[in-house]
Amino acid sequence: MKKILAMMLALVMTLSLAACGGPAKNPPATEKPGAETSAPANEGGLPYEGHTLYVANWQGYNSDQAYCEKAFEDATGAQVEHVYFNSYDELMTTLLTGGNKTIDAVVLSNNYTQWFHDDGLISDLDASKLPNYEKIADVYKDQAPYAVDDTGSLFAVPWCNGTSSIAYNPDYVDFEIEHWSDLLDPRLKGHVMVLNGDGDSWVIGCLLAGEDSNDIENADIEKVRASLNELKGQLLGFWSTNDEQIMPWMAGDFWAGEIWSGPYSQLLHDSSTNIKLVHPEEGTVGFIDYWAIVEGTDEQDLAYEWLNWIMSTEQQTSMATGVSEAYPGEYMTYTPVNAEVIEALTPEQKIDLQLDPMPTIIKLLPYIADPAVKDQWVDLYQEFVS
Amino acid sequence: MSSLSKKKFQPVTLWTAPSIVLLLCLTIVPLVMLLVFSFMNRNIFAGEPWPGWTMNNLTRMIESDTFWRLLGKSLMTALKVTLICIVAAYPTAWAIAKIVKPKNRSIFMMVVILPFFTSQLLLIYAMMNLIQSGGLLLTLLDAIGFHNVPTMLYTNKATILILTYEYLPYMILCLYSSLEGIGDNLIQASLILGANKWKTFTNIVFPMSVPGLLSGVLLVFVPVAGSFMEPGLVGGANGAMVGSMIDTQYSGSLNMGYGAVLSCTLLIVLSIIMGLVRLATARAQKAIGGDVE
Repeated sequence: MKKILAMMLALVMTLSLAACGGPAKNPPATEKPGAETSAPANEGGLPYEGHTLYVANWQGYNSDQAYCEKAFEDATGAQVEHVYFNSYDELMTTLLTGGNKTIDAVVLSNNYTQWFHDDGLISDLDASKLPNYEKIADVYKDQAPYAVDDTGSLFAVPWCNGTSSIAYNPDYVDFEIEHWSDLLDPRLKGHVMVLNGDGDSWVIGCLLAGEDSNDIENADIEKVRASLNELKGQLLGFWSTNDEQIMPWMAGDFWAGEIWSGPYSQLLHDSSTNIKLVHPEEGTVGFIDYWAIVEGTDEQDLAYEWLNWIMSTEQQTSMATGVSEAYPGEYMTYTPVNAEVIEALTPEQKIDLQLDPMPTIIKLLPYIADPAVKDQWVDLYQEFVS
Repeated sequence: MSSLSKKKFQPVTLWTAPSIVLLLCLTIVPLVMLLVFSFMNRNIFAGEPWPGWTMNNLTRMIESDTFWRLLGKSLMTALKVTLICIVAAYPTAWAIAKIVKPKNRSIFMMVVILPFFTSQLLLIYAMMNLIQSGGLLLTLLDAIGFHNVPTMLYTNKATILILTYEYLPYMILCLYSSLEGIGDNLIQASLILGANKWKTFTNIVFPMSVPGLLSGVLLVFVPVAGSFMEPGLVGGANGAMVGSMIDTQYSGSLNMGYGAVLSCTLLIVLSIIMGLVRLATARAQKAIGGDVE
């Protein structure tokens, strides 16, 4: 009798657990809930309640703002946890040492996506699970080799992009700057700053030397070296963060050079200083930041929801026009990739986003696949910044 | 017999066990890993399960003019900062240890360690604000008639200034601990027996302060030689030090193998220098009648 009771109890418990097991691991695609996610609605509840999505990003970089994170949580019922990294090396090490058990989706710049994909750290994507991918402007869609591999497989979706163009302060510079080579003018000696980054150094070096950074593996490295050496003689220093651009600009030490869109718009709105932006006709430095799903994640469907969400019109609008909650006064001006959002930008927003004037040619940060060639370019960068 | 061996056994095993475990986990193992990684190909964990052995990292380092130039520059910067710290810290430590009344010493010591209560990055930014164009220092200079003085920010001098500012407290603390232990009667005896103040300093005070001085040199020279944040922020176009190059391999180029060989070489060079410093100090101390503890 006891055995029969025990068996019945076990059966009841098993059936109960199966019945209240929460959302299915692979819920079928249905109509959207309120927000622009493709998340299927559970009867009487949100589709991913009880689930946690771990996303890796730089701290304070849009996705941890309420307009992105909380809105997604409200729409899906899932909890989003941000895992912050300080360098792509740190992120790569985390993923290589078992991070796929703790991280589901990651942000990667265009010059790192292919690398992470080649190392098997991010998975191929099924575009049919990403309805908002259709809304991406053609110029950012299916970008090879940054998001699509040789076989045509998509492995990353664009999120936002930016340019690092030339800005100068007309209060100190009494001539028009139109080209990168104008930064070599003796009148600017000791007052030029550029970003301390290998990709930016290579692109600027190529632009100065007349080489094609899109085909960097075949560029004449010695010509680029000579150009960078010449530029170095003009430099006040290098910057790496927003503060490191704004402080010397406000102090009157930084007169001309490369600038990110965020500090540019901040300085543009500061009445105590003057700033003018130039997109040289030979090209300007640019980047696209992507999101990708970590290979082997247990929350693949939820990660798809996240990728779909970050491309949505709602989220892209907030990202392009929002003001940081964490750092009041700091403009979160990242150029959207959603065609509807780009179309809807006001003239003022276009100025903030370095889209007015429009850059004619954008040279994306290059990815060098051949390790031996890459070592040569890394050595060149090291020589430039030391 | 058994209780005696227990007494002898306990201190060695139980009391030192935590230190040994910590030393093993936090020092020995990472150092061995660094050495092993130096001979491994690119990223240690990347792609294949075993990236393979290589001598390329070593060859690349030996052939790199940039590395040797930066190493030399880093050692020179560390030497300058250490010397400035010694010169600035000696009188301060002496004053706190011997001139200030014992009941007031804690106040002075608090002032010395006050910068430790703030983040290192904030200290750097505070100093940058002080010395930048339009900052407090140049504004004051302008007010007293020194017009158009160029800022020292974005120069190697700024790097030295900020590193000195950061590491001076370590030197003061180390020297203070040594100087405070020198008995006043010893100094009095030297003076009474006819030695002048300089001779008292060279024959009594300095030899007895050498252990503290060596600790201070170790605590200042080594981290300064490997620093990369300060030169990056305030050193300008030519500010980079060898630490910056190592940092790039880990944070930008994702080449851990090369980064490891650069780190190992820096470590070996610093160890040799510290060994030589210790040897030279011991000889000097013997020559003037003391001995290193």
